[in-house]
Amino acid sequence: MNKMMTNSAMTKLAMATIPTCPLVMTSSLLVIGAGTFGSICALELFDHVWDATNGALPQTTSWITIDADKDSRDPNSLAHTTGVRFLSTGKNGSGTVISKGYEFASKAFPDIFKTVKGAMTELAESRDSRFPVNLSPSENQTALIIAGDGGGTSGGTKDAVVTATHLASRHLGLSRFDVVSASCGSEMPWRDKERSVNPEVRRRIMANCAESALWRYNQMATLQSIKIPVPGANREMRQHASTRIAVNLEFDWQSESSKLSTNDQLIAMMASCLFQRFFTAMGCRRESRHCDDLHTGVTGQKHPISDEASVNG
Amino acid sequence: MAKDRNKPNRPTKYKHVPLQTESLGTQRLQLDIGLLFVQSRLRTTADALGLLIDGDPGPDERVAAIVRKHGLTKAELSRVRRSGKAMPRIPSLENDGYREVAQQLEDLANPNGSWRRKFDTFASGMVNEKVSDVMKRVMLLVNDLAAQYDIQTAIRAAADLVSFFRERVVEQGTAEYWKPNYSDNLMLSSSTYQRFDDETNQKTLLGLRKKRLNKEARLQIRQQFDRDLKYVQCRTDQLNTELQNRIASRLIDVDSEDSLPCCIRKLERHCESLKDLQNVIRKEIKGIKDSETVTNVVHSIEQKIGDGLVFYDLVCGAFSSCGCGPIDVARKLRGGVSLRGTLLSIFDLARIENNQAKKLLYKFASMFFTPSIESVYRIDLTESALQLPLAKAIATACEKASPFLRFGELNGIQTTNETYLHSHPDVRKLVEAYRPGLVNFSNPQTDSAFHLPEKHVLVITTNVLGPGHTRSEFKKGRYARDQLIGEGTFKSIHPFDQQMAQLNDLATRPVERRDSVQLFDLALKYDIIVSKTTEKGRQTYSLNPIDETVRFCFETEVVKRRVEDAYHFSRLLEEPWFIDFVDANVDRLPVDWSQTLFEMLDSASGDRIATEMVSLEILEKQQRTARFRIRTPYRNGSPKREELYRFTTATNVGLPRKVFIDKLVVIDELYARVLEDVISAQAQRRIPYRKLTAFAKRQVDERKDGLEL
Repeated sequence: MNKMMTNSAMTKLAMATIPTCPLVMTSSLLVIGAGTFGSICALELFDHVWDATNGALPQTTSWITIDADKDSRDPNSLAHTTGVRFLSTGKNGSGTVISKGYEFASKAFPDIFKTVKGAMTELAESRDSRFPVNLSPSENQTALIIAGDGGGTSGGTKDAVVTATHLASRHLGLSRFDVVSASCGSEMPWRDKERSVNPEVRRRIMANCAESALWRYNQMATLQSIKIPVPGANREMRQHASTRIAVNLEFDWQSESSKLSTNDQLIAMMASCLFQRFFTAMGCRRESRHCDDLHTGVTGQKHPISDEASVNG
Repeated sequence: MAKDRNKPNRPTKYKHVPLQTESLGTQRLQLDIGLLFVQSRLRTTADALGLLIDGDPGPDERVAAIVRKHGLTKAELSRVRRSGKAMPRIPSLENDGYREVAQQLEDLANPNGSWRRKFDTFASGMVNEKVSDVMKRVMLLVNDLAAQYDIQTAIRAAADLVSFFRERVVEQGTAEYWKPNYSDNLMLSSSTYQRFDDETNQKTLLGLRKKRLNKEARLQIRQQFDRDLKYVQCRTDQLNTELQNRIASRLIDVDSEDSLPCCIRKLERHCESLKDLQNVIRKEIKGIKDSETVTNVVHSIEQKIGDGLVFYDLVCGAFSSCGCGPIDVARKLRGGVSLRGTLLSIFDLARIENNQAKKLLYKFASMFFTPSIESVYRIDLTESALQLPLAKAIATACEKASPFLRFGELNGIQTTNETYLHSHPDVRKLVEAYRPGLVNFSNPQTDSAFHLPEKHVLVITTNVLGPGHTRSEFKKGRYARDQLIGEGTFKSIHPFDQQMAQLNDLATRPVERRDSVQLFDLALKYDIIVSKTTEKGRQTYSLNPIDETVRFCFETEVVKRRVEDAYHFSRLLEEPWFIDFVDANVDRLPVDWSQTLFEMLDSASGDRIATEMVSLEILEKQQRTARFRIRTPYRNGSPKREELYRFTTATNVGLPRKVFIDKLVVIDELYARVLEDVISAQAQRRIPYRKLTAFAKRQVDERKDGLEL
C-alpha cells in the first residue's frame, strides 16, 4: 500500500513528516468512495486506518465504495473484503460522460440509498471505547465522500450519494449531519505520466469537472433553500443549499513548491491528509473549534498568511 | 482600443457575502497545512493544534493577554491612592479652629512632623500587604506562563515587570512634589492663623465683647486657606508617590525574598536543574558497541539509572528550591517536558525502582494527558545511537505506565490503557522484539512518517474562488462545458435553473469606463441584459435571471448594529480587537478604561459592566427591549467586525441605464457576472467572437488555451 516515492515532489512531501498525534475521532464517520479514483483513495485511507489500529478498525467507521462493474478492492486482502462494502452502478462504465454516470446512478439509487441507510443505522448503534466521539452517533454523524470530478461515474454519482446520505440522515433523525466532500482537481488525468488522454476526452473531463464544481460551489454560496431531484424517483427534496455540503476539500495536483506526477501520488497525499484530519488529534481539535463556533456564531478563523479572502492571485 | 490595452487592469474586489455555512462556523479560507505545521513544530502539541486552528496570532500577543489577565498594571498601583489611611489629615476651616489649622499646617511644614510618623506606621503595613498581593499574582502569572509556554517566557515576563517597576521608581522621584519654599509659606500661614486665634482669645479673656472680624478679613483668610490647601495636597501627592515607590522598590529589591528578582532567580535555578537533569539522562543513553550484546547494554543502563536514588534526588532537588510538593513537581515536569522537546519524560520516571519514585510516577500519571505523550514522542528516534536504549526504555515504560495513562481527556469521560506510539520503523522493530504485543503503533510498519501536503488542500465556502491554479483550471473547465453544451454533446445533470449564487473567478478587470459601456451594449444586444418599462414609463435594465451573487447590486443595502444582551458585550472585553475598535471609534475615554472594565469581569455582573460601558458612551441601551448595542453609528466608521453589525436588505429590482453602467464600473460582482454570461454565450456560439470587447476576447483566449484540438 505504501507508494514508492521516487520523484522529488513526493520526497519533499515526505520531508514534512510529523510526530504523529494520538489517534482520536470526534464523530462517527461514513466513508464513501465514488468512481474509480474515489474508490482507490477511500481504500488507501482504509489501509492507513487498518495499519494504525493494527487491524482493529474503529467501530464508529463504515466504508463503502461505489464504482461501475469492477471491484477496486484487493481480492487477496481479507481486510478489504470484510471491512469495505462494494456497490456497483452497472456493468459498463459511463465512459467519461457525466450524464451517463448520472443515469446509471439514478438506476442504482435505491441500492445506494439502502446501503447508505444501512451503514448509517449500524453506525448509530456503534460504540467504541478506544475512539470516544463527541456526540452520540445516533445524534451526529459525518459522511466523507471521496470522488474525482472529471470521471463519468464519479461526477454523476457524487451528487446522488450526497442526496442519499441526507435522505438517510432524515430517516434516522440525526440532529447534526455533516457532509465533507473531497475531490481532486480536473487536470490530474492528463498530468499523470502513466496515462494518456486524447484532447477530446480531456475537454470532456474538464467540462465534467466544471459541472460538478459549479454545482457544489454554487450550493455552498447560496443562502436560500433549493429543490434537489431525487435520482430515479419522480420527486424532489428541499434543502438549505449551503447546509448540503458542510466542507469542501479540493486536493490539487500542483502547489507552489511541488508537483505530483502520477495519480498514485495524488491518492497517497489525499489519503494521508484525510487520515490526519479524521483520525488524529489534529483533526479533533479542528472539529472541537468548529463546535465552538457553532455556539458562539463567530465566523471563520483568520489565516495567518492571507488576511482576508483576497482574489488578487 | 490600443489606448485600453496600455491601461493596466485593476484587481477585482468582491464584497464578501456572509453565508449560512459561515454562521455555522465553517472555515472560509484555504488551510496551508504544511506551512502551519512547520511553524508549529517547536511548540507543544496543544499550542501547535491551536495554531493549526487559529493561525498564528503571535506568541507575544498571547503572553500579553495572559499578563493582562493577571491585572498587573498601572491601575493596580493607582489603587493605593484610594486608601487614605497613611495620608495626613486635611485641615478644614469650618470644623477646626484657627489654632488647630495653624498647628496642622506647622506640622505639615515640618519634614519630620507627626504626619511622617503616622505615614511610616501605616505605610509599612500597607506596602507589605500590597507587595504580597502583587507577588501572589505574579506567581500565578509565572505559573500560567510556564505551563502554557515555557520557563523562559515566564522569566521574560517577570523581567519585563521588573523593568516596568524600575522605570516607575526612576521616573517619579519625590523631590519634585515638595519644594523648600512650600514649608516657609506654610509656616507663614500658620503664624497668621495663630495671630487671628490669639487676638480672638485675648479679647475673650478680658471679658470684653469682642469685635467680630469683618467680612473682608474673613474672605482674605478663606483665600489664604485655599492657597494653603494646595500645599497640603502637594504633601499628599508626595506621600502617595513615596508609597508607590516603596512598593515598586520592594518588588524589584534584589535581596528581598518576596520580590520579582527572587522569583526570576528561582525560575532560572529551576531551568538549570532541568538542564542538569537532561544532561544526566543524555549521558546515560549511549551507543551500542559491536562487541556488546543487546542484553548487556540493557542491563548496564538499567543498573545505572535503575538504582533510582540518584535520579530521584535530582528530580526532587530540581524543585526543592521552589518549595513544591510532588503534585507540583509533576506539574512542573510536564512544563519541563514541553520545553523545547526536553528528554525528561514519564518513561524516565518509570525506570526508577524505589517506592518514592513509584509515588511520584503515580502522581504524574494521574495528571498525564495526551499532549504530554506527544511531546515525549518528539524525541529524535532517527538518531541511530539512541535507538536501542530508547526502544528498551519505551517498552519498559509503556509496560509500567500503561495502567496510569489516561487517554481521551480531550473528550472527557472515556479512559483506556492502550498506548499508541508513532515510531521510526527501526526502533519499532526493536521495541517489538523486546516486548512483543505491548505497544500499539500508530504509523504503518513500512512508512517512516505521515506526509502532509503543502498547499494542496483548498477549502472553499465563499462565492469567491481562491487564487492560483484552481481558478484557471475551473475557468477553462467552465468554458469547455459551455462549448460542449453549444455543440449539443453535453447534458447538464444538475438543476442550475434555480436562483443560486455563482462563483466569481475574475482576478482582474479593466479600469476604463468605456469597456463597461461596451459590455453593457453587447450584453443588451444579445439579451443577457433585459430591459423593462416601468409603469411610469421609465426604462430599466436588469439581468435575466438575477442570481444570489448579484442580487445585492439591485438592492438597497442597510446595515444595522447588532442588538445583544449585556453578557455578550461584557465577554467581548476579553478580545483584543474589541478594545482597538472602541479606542478607534469612541472619543473621550479614560486612558485605562479597558483595564478597569476588565478587572470588573471577575466580580461584577454582565449588566453592571454593560451599564458602565453605557456611561462611557461605548454602548447604548434600548429603552423598549432593555438590550444593548454599540453606540458608534455605522456611518462613523466601517464595521471592523461583522459580528457587531447585521446586514439586512430591501429589494429594488431594475436600474436605469446610467446607474447600471455606474455599477458595472464599480461593482465587480456585477461586471464578472455579465462578462461570464457573455463569454458563456460566445462559447455556445450565440455571440460571434469578433463582437466581443477587447477584455472579453483576452479572457476567451486564455480559456481556450489548452483546449484546442
